Amino acid sequence: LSKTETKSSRQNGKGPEGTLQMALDKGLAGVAEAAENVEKFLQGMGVPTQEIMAMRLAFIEAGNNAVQYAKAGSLPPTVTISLEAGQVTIIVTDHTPGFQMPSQPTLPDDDTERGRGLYLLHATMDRVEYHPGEHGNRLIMWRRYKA
Amino acid sequence: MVIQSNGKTLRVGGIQNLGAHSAGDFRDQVRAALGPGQKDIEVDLSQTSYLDSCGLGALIGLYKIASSREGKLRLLDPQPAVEQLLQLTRMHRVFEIVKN
Repeated sequence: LSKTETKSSRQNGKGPEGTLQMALDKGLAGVAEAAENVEKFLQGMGVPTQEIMAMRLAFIEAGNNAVQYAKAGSLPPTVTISLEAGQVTIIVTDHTPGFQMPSQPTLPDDDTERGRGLYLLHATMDRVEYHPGEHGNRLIMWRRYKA
Repeated sequence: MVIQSNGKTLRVGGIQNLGAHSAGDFRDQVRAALGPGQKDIEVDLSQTSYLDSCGLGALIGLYKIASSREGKLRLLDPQPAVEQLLQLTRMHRVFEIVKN
């Protein structure tokens, strides 16, 4: 797992600011490892535990999708998590064939074993956007929090 | 992961991660360990700090196996992050959750 972390604890009346950047280059097991880094980073920034649980889950689901559906031989997905003015932004850039993001994903039947990932992104974050692109797709998710 | 047989119940514990990278193996191991006379499955989640939608899918798979034998899937002592996922997906209504 490649990681570049830049932190700033600048207090400008709007809360702490910081950025965590990672490449998800260790497959699905690497997503679990990266989730620990996300948790530690957000803890270090003073984000409340309840909020971290939601953001961590969104990150895991987004990271899994980006890794699982990556085109063979493509660049690994990258993740940027930033805090600014009481808001966390998670950006996942992937090299998958892309997909159509439904505006309001719904849960499948209770006995269906798959198909809850996109729902969880929307259930845990305030806003979710997916931008497919020729040179990579970008999933951007935002969540405001109160320290 | 530790799997123990206790009469009609199969008990599974010692699970730290139940995510996309491990869910398939987890489900296969539990399924293989389930004896012909066993109908209930207990999964101790007290040490499980990582569960994602794929891990949840594995639990649903076990739930279906137990149901097909007229048994139950019981989840024991889920941690807060795991409970959050169960509630968000409304699977807390489906599984039997036991807290000590």
